[in-house]
Amino acid sequence: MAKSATKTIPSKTGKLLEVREFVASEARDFGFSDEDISKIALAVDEACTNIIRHAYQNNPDHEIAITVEKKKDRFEVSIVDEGRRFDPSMLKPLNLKEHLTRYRRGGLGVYLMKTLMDKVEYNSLGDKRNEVRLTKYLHPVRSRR
Amino acid sequence: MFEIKITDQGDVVLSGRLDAAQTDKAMEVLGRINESAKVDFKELQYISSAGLGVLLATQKRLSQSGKRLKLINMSKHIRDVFHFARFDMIFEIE
Repeated sequence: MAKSATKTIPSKTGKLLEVREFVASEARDFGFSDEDISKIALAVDEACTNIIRHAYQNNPDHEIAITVEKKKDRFEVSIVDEGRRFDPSMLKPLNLKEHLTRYRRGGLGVYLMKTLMDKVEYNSLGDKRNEVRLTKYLHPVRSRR
Repeated sequence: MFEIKITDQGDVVLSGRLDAAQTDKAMEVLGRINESAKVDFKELQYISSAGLGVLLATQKRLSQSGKRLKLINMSKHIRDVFHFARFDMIFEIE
């Protein structure tokens, strides 16, 4: 049976360390290596940073709910906000050369999340709630990627 | 906790955690760099894409006058983040 734990934070970048520590502790309990724990914590940081900056446009008066779900073979992190919906299809694939010559904010966090995790999903939950769901398998196999 | 200092030689020393909460502080100090400089990562424990963005913006500004940053003393963990973001292809890392 899946076990879950939730942490809710105000939409402030000053809370990112708390989020990373919460997720890292849960990932450690689940049995991930230090390297994978770092990857998961960074991916969740990137998701929360994007929500604070883009969904809530740096307004600190909102909330973000981070729920860790420990399933048999995988670790899922659901990050829920009530801000502006992010449409991943609107984001052009990151072109490194373009990024260097014409640096623009955003995009890199999404690219990193996809690189660090096995699965990144964006869901609309209704009631104006948006979810980013990040999945990491305990023992990944190449075919899943 | 994040600290950023410029040494007497004009190099930059980073320590602590450089996430989105610290980008204004980092940008304020890096904005004073106008010559090629080393950035010492020895005491930096964490960096996210927000921190990478600050370094990239500085590198871009310096490159307009033929100057650049050289990143030194990175831990494996920080180097991995640069690698995942492919920023190891952008910066000179020693």
